[in-house]
Amino acid sequence: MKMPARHLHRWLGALLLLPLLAVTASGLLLGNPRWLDRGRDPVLRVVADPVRPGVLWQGRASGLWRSTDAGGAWREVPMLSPPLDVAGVAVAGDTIWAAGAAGDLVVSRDGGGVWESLPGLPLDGARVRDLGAGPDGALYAWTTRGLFAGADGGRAWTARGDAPAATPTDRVRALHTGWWLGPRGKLFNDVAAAATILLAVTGLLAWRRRNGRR
Amino acid sequence: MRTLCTCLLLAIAFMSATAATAAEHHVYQTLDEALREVFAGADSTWTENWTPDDDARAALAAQLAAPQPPGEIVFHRARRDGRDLGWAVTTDEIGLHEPITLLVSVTAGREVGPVRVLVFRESRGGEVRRKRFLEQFLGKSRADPLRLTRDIDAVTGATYSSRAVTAGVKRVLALVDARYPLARSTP
Repeated sequence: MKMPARHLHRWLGALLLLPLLAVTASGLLLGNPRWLDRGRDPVLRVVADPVRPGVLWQGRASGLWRSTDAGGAWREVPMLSPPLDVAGVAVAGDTIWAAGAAGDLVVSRDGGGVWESLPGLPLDGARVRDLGAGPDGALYAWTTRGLFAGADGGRAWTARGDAPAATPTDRVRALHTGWWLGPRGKLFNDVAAAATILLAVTGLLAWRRRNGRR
Repeated sequence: MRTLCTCLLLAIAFMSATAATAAEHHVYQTLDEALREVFAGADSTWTENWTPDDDARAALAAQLAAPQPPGEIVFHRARRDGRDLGWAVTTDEIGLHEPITLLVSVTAGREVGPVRVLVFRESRGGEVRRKRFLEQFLGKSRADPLRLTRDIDAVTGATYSSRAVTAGVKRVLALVDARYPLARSTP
């Protein structure tokens, strides 16, 4: 390579280092959202109780919270085995269900005093997006794998209709974060991203050292 | 270059290890084996059964904010050199889909003793049987929150099983207190 081309190559490489690191590191972080959310308790869902005036239910990463003054103050709902990343809350009379994003499910039949853990939804890695109950107590869960209908108070679930197709953006995001191969395949992307960052940094250090010696 | 390769291999090995899953429906320990471990050195062992009535179950449900299933509860007891070694109780707690059977021991001082996972039925999360996770419960009492991320660290990749074990420990502490109130250690 002639001198000007080599210089151009080096300086372009140096200039592109920052965006390359940003893209790689953000992919790594998007693929591992818990790294960023550690120590936080984001609100994932708020549902107004259709039976008890002023009562709101709030799904958080840590479990279920309740307000009895229309959102003025919130208190965690005590329970033995709280659902995590609560993505859906459904109310039918005194029966309240709360579902975690992974499909873990609890039910209270006394308006929120005592909570029973139920076997989770059969999602095989899909995520719960929302939960709803009809006036007759019929229970439905909207998930990344489509609609599920609950029977026997949420103890048995069957898929209804077709699963929603992934959008092109979903596919690109999955490719960017490594999730196109599932949770295990994602690890290869994590390793590749970590290696890219390491190579970029060590390459820059080696270049600086070499230039410094000249 | 050699350092870089070593770092990459270590990263891959670490990630593979954290992604490991357990076999389905695994009996890790029988009750007898677990009792011998949690009551090591005991010179006499016996059981005491209790079937809580409706009032007792309602009181437990109110304390735990979770229903207490009907049926008999077996308290395993032990003594060494005339000294009470406490209680051990089995309990089933739902992980994500299936119940996990645990043996939780409570010392005579009402603190959590050794905890053992007896039967694991989930497709993943069997890492909760590891000593490093279970030792977190040693010395906990009813005064502790016994909550994931607060005083108990979940096993990576086994969050729901970790939550179930934590719930089981909390339940057994409440059962011991309900059956053997502090004022009298024997019914």
